[in-house]
Amino acid sequence: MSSHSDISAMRRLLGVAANADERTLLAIAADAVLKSGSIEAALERRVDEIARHPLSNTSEARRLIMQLEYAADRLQAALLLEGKGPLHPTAARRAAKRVVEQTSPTARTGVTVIAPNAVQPRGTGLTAEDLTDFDRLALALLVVNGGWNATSAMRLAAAASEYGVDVDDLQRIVQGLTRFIAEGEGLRGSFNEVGTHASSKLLSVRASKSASDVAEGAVERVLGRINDVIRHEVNSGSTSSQARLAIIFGAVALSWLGALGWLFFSPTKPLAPELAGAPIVAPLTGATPLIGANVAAPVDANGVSTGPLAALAAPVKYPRAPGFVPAAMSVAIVESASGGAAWIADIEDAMRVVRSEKGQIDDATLRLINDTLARAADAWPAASSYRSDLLRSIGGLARATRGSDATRRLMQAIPGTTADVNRVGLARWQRMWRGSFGAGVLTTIALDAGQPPETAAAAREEMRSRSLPIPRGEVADPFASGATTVLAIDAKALADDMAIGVITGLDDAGRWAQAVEAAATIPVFRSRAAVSAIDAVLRSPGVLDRPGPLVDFLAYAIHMLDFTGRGADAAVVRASVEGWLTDATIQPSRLWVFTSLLDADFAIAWYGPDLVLATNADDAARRDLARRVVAKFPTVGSTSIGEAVLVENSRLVEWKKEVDAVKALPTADLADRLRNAAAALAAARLGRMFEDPDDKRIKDAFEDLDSIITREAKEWNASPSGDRAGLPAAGVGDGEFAAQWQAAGRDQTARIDLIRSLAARPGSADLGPIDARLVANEALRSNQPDVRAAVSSTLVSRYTKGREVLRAVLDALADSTPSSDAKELVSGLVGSNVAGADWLSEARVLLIERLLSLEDGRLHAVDAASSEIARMASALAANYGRSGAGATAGLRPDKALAQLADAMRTEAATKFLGSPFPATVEEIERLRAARRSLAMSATQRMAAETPAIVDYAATLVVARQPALSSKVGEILANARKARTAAATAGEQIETDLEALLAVMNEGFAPEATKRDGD
Amino acid sequence: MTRTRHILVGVASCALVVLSLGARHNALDASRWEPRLALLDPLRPYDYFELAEEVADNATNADERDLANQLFGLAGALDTDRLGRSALLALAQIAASPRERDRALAAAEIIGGRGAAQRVLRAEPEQIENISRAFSFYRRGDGRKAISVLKQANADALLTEVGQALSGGADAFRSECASMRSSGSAAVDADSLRQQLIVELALRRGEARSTALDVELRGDEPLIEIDRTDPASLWRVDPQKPWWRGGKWSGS
Repeated sequence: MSSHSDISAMRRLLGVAANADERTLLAIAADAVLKSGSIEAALERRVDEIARHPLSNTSEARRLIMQLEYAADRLQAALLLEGKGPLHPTAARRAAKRVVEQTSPTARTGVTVIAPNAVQPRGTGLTAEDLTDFDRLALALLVVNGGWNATSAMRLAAAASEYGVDVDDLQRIVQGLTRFIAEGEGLRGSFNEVGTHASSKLLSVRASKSASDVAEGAVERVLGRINDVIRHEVNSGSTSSQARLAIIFGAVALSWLGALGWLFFSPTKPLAPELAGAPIVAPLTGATPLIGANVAAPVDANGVSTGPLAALAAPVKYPRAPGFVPAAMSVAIVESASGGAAWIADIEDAMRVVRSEKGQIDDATLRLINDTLARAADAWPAASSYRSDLLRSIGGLARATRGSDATRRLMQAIPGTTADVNRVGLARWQRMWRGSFGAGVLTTIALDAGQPPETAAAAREEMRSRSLPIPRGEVADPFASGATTVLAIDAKALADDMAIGVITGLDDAGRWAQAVEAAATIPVFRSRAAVSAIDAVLRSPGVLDRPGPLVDFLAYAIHMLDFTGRGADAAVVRASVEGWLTDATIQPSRLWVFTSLLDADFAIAWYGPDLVLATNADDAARRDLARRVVAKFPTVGSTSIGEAVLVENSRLVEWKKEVDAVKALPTADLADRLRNAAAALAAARLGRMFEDPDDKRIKDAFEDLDSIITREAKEWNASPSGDRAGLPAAGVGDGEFAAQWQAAGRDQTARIDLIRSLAARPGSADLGPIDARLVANEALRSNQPDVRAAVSSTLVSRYTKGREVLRAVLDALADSTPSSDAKELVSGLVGSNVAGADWLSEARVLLIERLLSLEDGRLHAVDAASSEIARMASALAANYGRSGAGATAGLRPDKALAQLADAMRTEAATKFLGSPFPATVEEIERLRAARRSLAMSATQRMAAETPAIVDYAATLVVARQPALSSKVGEILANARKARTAAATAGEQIETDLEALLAVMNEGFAPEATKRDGD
Repeated sequence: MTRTRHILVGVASCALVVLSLGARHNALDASRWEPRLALLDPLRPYDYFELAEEVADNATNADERDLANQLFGLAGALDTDRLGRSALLALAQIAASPRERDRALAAAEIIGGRGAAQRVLRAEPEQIENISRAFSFYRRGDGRKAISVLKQANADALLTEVGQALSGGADAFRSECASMRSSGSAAVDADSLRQQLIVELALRRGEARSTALDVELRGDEPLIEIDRTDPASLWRVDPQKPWWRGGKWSGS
């Protein structure tokens, strides 16, 4: 409400009435279209007008300017709430300044919010007096941050946490406030008081730095003033001055005492609840949410929302990243799976019996079949290599069976019947595994064109009796199809039981995941299971915004899906996500968690926090988000030969130059070849980054590659310790000291004098072989303790870099009984403590390492290049989504290459090719294992991994562009020839990795030049 | 003189007769398989394998061993999935050299192996300790002590296994030790000294040794690679000529 002086000032300075509205105050025409900039321009004109007035320096004028600013703020707020464009920078600065100015240490406790008293809401029937503290705070945040958006959502979440308002209540409060603002008369009069005061209340902690910055000058001025006063009083020397000084210092002393007393005796504030134990949003306390409907978002002529980003929200936070790693299979399962050969043998035995019985199955044979299949059903995910052989054998058995009765009995012997999975004592995971195995086997028989019609019919009949869908059309992998169908159904049961608390751990989910991974040889099947799991979790009644197995299961299922847009299942994934976002039967709060997990998943780099759905999102907001997610879902550019990875042209040219530079590197020895291999891996890493370009990471990767290519030979050869071998003193011959020692006889004093002279030799860091041997022997075995101690001391102080001395000590240790002081001597020489029962062995190792570190050479170059291979392979593996890769400390290069091959295999396994190229994943892995078993040296172990890396790269490229198969096949053939003809394992590694670059190169295509605005 | 000449001529004639008889015998031995060879049909690759086993078992000369090689090769080439691995393992058994044997075994692993074998250098701590002491004694010029410690704990066997990492090999090291006088430092060149230090360190580090140490110890030999797309180089036969016609392999 304006005071009397304000009214006078309005009339005197601006000539407007006291009850003028904001437009009149700012001289904006009633019918003018408001824009944030035009409001600011009007305000500026008014301020100029006041500044030119003779009364411009009065307090009235200053107060009037403040009134004008408030009026401008109200108009800006109204604009923001309507979503009409961004806030003008000047207005934003003014709002921020006001927040800072009004922030005070007492703001949090002094909750003296002035409620808007001119609010006349139409829709809610509420007045400003009805607003709680939190409502006002939320209202202020909405206004200050320009409506409901990511920033305001984040701040509101923080505020809600402080006030103990949970997510659902926050959602209702925001909806209510939004309607309150939109349908009411606005927040006239007291709007700014609410906004600034309540904002400062919330933002006091965040803004404390800014506030202290502002206060800094004031504090200095006050202190300066106090200083002046005290100095004046002291200088005056009068009695009154002394009295005043006594009072001042007395007051200061008392205030200190008071402060100390307060510090010691004031009650301690309760600690904030631990994050791990506390809910994400605490229960509602004291805040009365306003219930209201959503505001209809304005749309443009195309139906696209032009309003504030109503679908944005702060992602949900968890104490740890949700998800899980399936526990390793138990020893019993692994042992059972290792008996896969016995399963096959048993089934083949049964088949022979059935054939001899002219297709009939007797009871004994049926028991054998039952037992064998039960064993297989309990371990099949761990026995993938035997699975296809087992299926073939079962197929043979089915073909051998004749007669409807026999075939029916055989089908019923396949695990997974209702009676089978409901047996008492069967673990839940066993039920899942048995059911899926049975479904897989039945589907395989039912779809096998080689089966007699009556057998296939019996399999279909059994499937129908088990309520299993019978796949139609061409099925690439019938077992996977059948098994994943059942696993998809199991996912729903798992999610429901997690939701209602029947399942509290993740063991069963882990087993489910292992079964899916083992069954789904084709990505679409894995996607089917994962989609089913996500769908089940989103529709289950369980809590998602707090840590628990359900959200871990959800995160795992999300991670199973391929969001790169390159897989065969890309369309399924995209459509599923779109479907969930727009499905009205799924609550927005659950989609908030789902989209937050998508945002948090590092494998989905394109999904950002701007795609997190708000908990209060209405249908329009959900549709809008779905549209934006679909638009952002990666699509691979198409060329005439398929889907190439499109790379910005200059970047591609630069990469090709680097690849040429790698090929041109010298290949004189193993160190060179390993260096070249590391450079090739670095270039491959760059190539991989083109698929998901990130300028900064690409720049860093280019620098990594350059550092390998341009590093000088002497840098590669340099000893990691940087030490250099010491030299003997100039002008002193080898053996002189030994001669003097002999001459001194056993005179201890003379010997110690000689040792002192040795220690005093200028510039001596080593001895000749004869003297070194004598000295080492005396240091380790002298029977005169003082002499031994003196020699040891001299060696440690002067000869730690002496090659001859170190070698002599090493050789002296070969005798059986070194003295007890030997440990200390070696520890001093190598700079590392040598101790323990096996100290002699450790001492020799350290002495040799010390000796080798004193010289530069190719030994160090080989190790340096190997380290680079490990670093680059590990980094590339991380680029292929290998979790846990990236840590290279102590990682051997062959292990890092194995990590890379594993990561590439995982991705290759998600690709579907009509005809496997260059071979099936199983065959590539078999060859890899065979090569590993042949490898005897470190370089051979590396060379055992590189062919698989090249093969998987070829799979990935051809999966995108099948037309490249002949070209890539040619590269592979040449690589095979080069590998076969290679003279060393280092050369094999190098040629393989060059082939890797050649293969990757085929997959790239220059991106079309973008026009401005594209 | 004349008598001597007559004796020489007689010996030479006998030698010629023996050689010609031997040659005739070889030809006969190789030709004894002719009827069986003529019956071979590439539609029945297993017949090649069976005959190859029979020929290998009864081979008495190089021709027959060569014939067995060819038959095994053809069996493998004609039905690699079923007979490839067996054929290569059989070829390893009758290989003429260790290198050929290693190649055949590696090919067998690549054709149909599942990576069951693991090849690591196994060394007992006592063996390593004794080799290390032997190196030290050698450097100190005490050859007899060096030989003595090598005889303990089977260290000599390990020295033989890693001898390729030393200049001249294990035998050269042993002979130098033996020729060394019982006292006096050996004139060890810098390379030998470095090699001994590296071998000792590599052995002590075990499988955790760095790449450089491993290469010094085990070398940088290429991993035996088989190009399965090139049957001629893999099987050393021409699978396009599987028929035995007129004493040689033919394409029809």
